[in-house]
Amino acid sequence: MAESTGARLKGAATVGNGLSAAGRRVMAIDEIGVIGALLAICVFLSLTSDKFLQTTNLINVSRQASWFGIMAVGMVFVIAMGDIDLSVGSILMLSSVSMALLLRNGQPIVLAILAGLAVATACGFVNGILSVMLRIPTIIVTLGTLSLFRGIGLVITDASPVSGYNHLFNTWFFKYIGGKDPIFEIWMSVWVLVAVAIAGWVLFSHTAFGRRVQAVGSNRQAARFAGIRIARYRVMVMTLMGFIVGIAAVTVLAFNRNGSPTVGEGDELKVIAATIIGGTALTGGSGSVPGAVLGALIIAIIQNGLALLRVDPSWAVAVTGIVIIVAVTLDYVIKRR
Amino acid sequence: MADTGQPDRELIRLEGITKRFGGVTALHDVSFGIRRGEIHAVVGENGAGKSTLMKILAGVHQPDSGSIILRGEEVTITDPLHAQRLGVSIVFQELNLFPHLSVAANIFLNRELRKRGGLLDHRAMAEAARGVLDQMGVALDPRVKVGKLTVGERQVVEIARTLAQRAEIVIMDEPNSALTASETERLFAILRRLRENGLTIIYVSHRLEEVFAIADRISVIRDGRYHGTWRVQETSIPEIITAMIGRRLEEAFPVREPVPPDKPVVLEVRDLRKGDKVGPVSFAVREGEILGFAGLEGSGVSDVFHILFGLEKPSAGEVIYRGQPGARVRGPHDAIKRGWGLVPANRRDEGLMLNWSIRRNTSLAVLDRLLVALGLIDRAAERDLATGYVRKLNVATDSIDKRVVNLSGGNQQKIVVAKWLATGPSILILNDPTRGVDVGAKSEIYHLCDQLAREGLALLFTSSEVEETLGIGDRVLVMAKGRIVKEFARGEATKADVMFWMAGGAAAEETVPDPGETLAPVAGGDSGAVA
Repeated sequence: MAESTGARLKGAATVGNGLSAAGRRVMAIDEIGVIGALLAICVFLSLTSDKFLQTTNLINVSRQASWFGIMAVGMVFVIAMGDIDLSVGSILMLSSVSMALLLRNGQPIVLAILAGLAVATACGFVNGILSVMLRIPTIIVTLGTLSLFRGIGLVITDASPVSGYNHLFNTWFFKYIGGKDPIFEIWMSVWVLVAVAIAGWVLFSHTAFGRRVQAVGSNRQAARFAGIRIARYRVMVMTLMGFIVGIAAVTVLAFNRNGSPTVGEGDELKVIAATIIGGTALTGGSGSVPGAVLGALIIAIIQNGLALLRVDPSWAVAVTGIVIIVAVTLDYVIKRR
Repeated sequence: MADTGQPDRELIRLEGITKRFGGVTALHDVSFGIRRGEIHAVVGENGAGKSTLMKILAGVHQPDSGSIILRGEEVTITDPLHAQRLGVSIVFQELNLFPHLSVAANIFLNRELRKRGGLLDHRAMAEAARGVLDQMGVALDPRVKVGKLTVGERQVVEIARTLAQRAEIVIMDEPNSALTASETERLFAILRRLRENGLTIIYVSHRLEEVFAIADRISVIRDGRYHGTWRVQETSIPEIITAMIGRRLEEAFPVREPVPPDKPVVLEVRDLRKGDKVGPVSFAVREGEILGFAGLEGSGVSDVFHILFGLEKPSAGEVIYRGQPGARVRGPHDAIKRGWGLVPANRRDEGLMLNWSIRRNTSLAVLDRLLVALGLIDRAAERDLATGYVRKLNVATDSIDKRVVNLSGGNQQKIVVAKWLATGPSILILNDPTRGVDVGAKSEIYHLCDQLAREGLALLFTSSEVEETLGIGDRVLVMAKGRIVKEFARGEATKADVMFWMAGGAAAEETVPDPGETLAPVAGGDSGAVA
């Protein structure tokens, strides 16, 4: 009798352990906090707005998320390395208006794209090299280039939208890169995000490059002692950030069609917020590419949701801030347990 | 001095203190007393529970059972502020000062003196701070920013802070780990003076020599249990070590055979200089040889190591590696490529990614060798590497995915060593590898060095504890003011000989304060340990 009770108790304990082990495994996923926040927001919006779950709405949200998401993938590297890039919005603008100007001047599309990527990559390189050579933190350098790059963009566009190539709107570039794929009818920029995110995740989490980037962010001095060439890595990562913004710029221009001198304004904060919501430590040393993509999704969904709920646009700005703080806190609290 | 009240009366007594953290019993039935006006050392290996005990005294932790009797009355210390009101203050291992604030502002932090109207009374605080510093016999300007002070001076400010809080009992947790020899001397002079003023000091440390130089009595904690109290005059370092680790440590240092002169020279350095800080320095090390370096901080030993590893640039000099001249490296990456490793002096700042797992720390310097197709890291190979070194070096951990911040100092140091062994070095430079490591792990590190030398590595070794360098080096080069001033063969020198040359040889009298009083007992205690 006593023995069977004991056995039963033991069995119950095993089941309990099994459950808690599974639970622990779920809780051990690094992105659990951001996934939880995302689900909570989605449930809330689907209950309060009947439009939220409609396919067209979701597809539009995904487009907005894709631009932040692409840039956030690069930002994961930058922040995990202990740096920051405040100039991404300006690089996005300078790169896309450069492409638009070349198209207006009758240059081939492929050349314009390559030039746009080159401009963005060069901007990132400038950020990195200035920080390393002048020994100034990237937060200061990019605070400067935030204005510098946008200023250059304003000069070359006379601060007005760049248009005058309507005859190109039927080409593959504007039709497909700026449109939806013919099979799934999903925005091409979303597919670009998927590709960038997978490549970024592999690079960040599974290569020596990514590991060393995190080493630099975790303990710069120890990384130097371990033979990592800090300056070289920092320049490489800032350059990579620029290149990735260039990819975002190509998809943005393809969708917007005309080059806008206001595009990307304030994007740096959203991209940084997406990265941090996604679990990348602002102190450096670790990060998550999938998390950053989810973070970008959260940012886009919040903006979409506030519009659907007809919140006063001014209030929407304030609410966005609150949600960012809540999401980061949630993640922090869960990880702290 | 002899008649300050009743010297034998206990100021504080611990009775049956037990403390558990989860399932782990950190302290088990610890009972002993501390007398008024004594310097009472508490020693034990890392993880023995001495820090937990101190935190209980300082009110950071509360015991699960047992009692604290202070001035004859049982007290329950609820929090650190309460402990301070009872006159018990703690100076923590990590200095808790604010570099941008002045000495006076640090001393009066959170208890600022105010003028009527609420503005800070800077003058009154400076005067009061000066009073406290005078009492300690220290000439330090209270208006200076703490950031401009040396580590030793900061320690003084920390103590001054506790005195300004009218502490009667000051607990010092590993106070000297970052201090140079002369700074330690100055600290000890201050502690002795405070003892004469009637302060009671509880001194927690690893460094037994220093404990023997400063303490009146020594209590030993081992595995959370109390293992006795000794008067310093009536015990010896070996006896205390035995109490600390529970076994006799007769063969602390490995027995080394002389290196045969026909072994090839692996590394030769000729006329290395760096400005007027280093050089000219020339030496050669053979395959299988452990070359010891002895020198005070600033003597140039660390600079020579850093230059060899490419962390600092020399102004002149030739490095010859396996007969090839021009072997100076351009940076650590270059040194690693060549098969050189450096176990740095400061594992927290220079050796480890504290928030990273054992696995990631172990593989960091050899990622290039763990790659499979497309440049991806081979996780299985990485795990095997880490597991292999955890076993080989006897690292106490349940998983290679454990973060190194959660390991003890000795195990952390083993991970740093593992990282460098993983590179398969032919030359391994060890810069104070036993700093902050418990006695058992120290012995393991000595034997590992011996084993590596037997496998044919050339080792350059230095330690902040001279007898280690003597005990492990096949030869010992003594450096002072950037130059090699003396070379000893194994067994040729005593610690006192080396210390004499470290302090500059004939010029020693001027540079070392008070050698008669302070160095003698250290050397005396040590001769017991080596014999």
